[in-house]
Amino acid sequence: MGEKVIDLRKELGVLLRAKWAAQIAAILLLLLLFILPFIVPEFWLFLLCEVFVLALAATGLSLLAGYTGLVSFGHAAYYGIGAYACAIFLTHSGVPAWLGILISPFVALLAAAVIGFFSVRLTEIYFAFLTMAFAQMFWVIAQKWGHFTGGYNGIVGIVRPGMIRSTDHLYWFCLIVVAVCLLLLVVIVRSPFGLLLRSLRDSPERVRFLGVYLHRHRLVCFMISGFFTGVAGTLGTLIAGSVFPDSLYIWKSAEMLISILIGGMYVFPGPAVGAIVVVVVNHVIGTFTEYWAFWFGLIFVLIVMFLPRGIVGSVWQSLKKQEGME
Amino acid sequence: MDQLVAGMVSGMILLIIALGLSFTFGVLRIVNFAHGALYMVGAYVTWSTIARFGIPFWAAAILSVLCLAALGVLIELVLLRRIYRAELMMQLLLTFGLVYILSDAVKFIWGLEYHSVAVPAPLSGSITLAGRSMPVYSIFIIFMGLAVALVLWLVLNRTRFGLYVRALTVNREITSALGINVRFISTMVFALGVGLAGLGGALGAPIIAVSPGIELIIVDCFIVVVIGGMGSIAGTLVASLLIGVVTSFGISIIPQQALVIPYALMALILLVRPWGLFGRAE
Repeated sequence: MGEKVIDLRKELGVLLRAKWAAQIAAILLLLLLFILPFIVPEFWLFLLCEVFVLALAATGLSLLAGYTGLVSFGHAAYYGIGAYACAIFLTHSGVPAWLGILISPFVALLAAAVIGFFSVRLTEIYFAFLTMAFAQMFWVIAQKWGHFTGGYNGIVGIVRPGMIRSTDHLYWFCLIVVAVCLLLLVVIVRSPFGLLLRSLRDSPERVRFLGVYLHRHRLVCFMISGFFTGVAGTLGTLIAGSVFPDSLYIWKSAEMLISILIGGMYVFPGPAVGAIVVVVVNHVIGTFTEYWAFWFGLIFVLIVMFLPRGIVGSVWQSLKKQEGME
Repeated sequence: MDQLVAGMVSGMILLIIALGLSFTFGVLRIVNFAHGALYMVGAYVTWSTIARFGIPFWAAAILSVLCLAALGVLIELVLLRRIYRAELMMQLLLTFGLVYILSDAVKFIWGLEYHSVAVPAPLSGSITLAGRSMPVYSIFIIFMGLAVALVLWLVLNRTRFGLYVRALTVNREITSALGINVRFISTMVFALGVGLAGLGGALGAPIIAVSPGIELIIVDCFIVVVIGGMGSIAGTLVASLLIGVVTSFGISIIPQQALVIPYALMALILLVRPWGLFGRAE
């Protein structure tokens, strides 16, 4: 009958060490990524940009789907709106390019505010369906409103502003923007607000009894989440130089959710690691066979079945076990 | 009038597929994203057995239902059984992985070409009804849709199996404690749901182009299931006719905006009555 005594000091020590290790690892990783354009060929930089974008989109979504427990199946809406806004600003209007790029995520934020206002009243599967319905509406609009959005053919031939026209500069720009956004997201997750979001997920009734406005906080979280996913969409347009209605379709939403699940939903680096797996697996398998989706689906299903906590979540779990915390 | 019939026909195909989805969700609480891909497999099985072995249409349809039900048993045993208690996100996305697997498998096995299945001989041609000519097959489909809904209702409400299923829906643990093999019932429920996708694929094959991409019908199925109320047969019937007819009329009247209407209806229902027209509030 081994009574389990948790040594608080030991636990705290482990946590602190883990925190330090994580911070040092993050800084080293950032430095490495920063000098990469001097080392690797251009193709890899584009691939990494794709990883950055998906990592940001997925981490933005995980604030809502993971930490707050509201699984949005329509985050393609904010990705796509950010992407389309950027494309339209850069091609149709007389707005200065940088101003357009700056405004685009806020267009996504606006959409998230309106859709969120309606959606946060629902939870669980109903929330998932409602967010999906809204995203699908934008998908139809993008296809049919040809005058603005180019219809089925999308908008192509978007020229980046001079400062980020070369691949190296584009890469650094994406790296910096995504790094700053992820840092902001870490701060949000660790803040009292982030703690509140988790308690909204785990025990909404009790939080309500404490006098917290449930819907208001969910809405704020929805907007923040939509904003960061919108930033990802804006970057996506800059990288690809084009945007298509696909970026608003459920498959895009699913891609973000799949990244979150592969990496692990309750650990901050999870979605980003999942994004690496998604992009790399797609490209690597894509070079061997045209049936990449089959293998991608298989890998995903296997990961979900055998590592239900995701890659990062499982590693974290086994580290904790090694330290004798569980 | 032609639009009404066309809308009803596509609504009835939708009904047969959506009944499977709604039934699975109502009982097992699993949202099966792969349902549309399974419908596609059903359509391909129908086409290829007719084209390769020259068997009659009705035999191909039965074969399609049986194949898909077997596939359903396999999926339930290997995958779903593990996630009944998992988090929502995992439940939503595991079947999404199946969509990737199944749609590529279909492309690998049957290629990218469009295929068409001939309307079976006794049902081809058209008859004159109230001064208008109507394809016999359309009438057959409408009849089949109603028949499938009726049979499912009878199975659920008038058989012992249906009794167990309803008990399982209310409380899994207590049903199990009463000595009923809930694992077996769950497998059968999923197999039946997927079998309906197979039936939809078979009956739909003569009026659609059998091609990659038809798995996207899943989105329409979700709309129907949400509007009708998840797990409600009557609701699914009303909602699929509504969506079929509204889309059919919409495309001929306002082609540009028509596709938004189903999504708007879905959003409206979710906001006003999240459990659907015929569903029960939880």
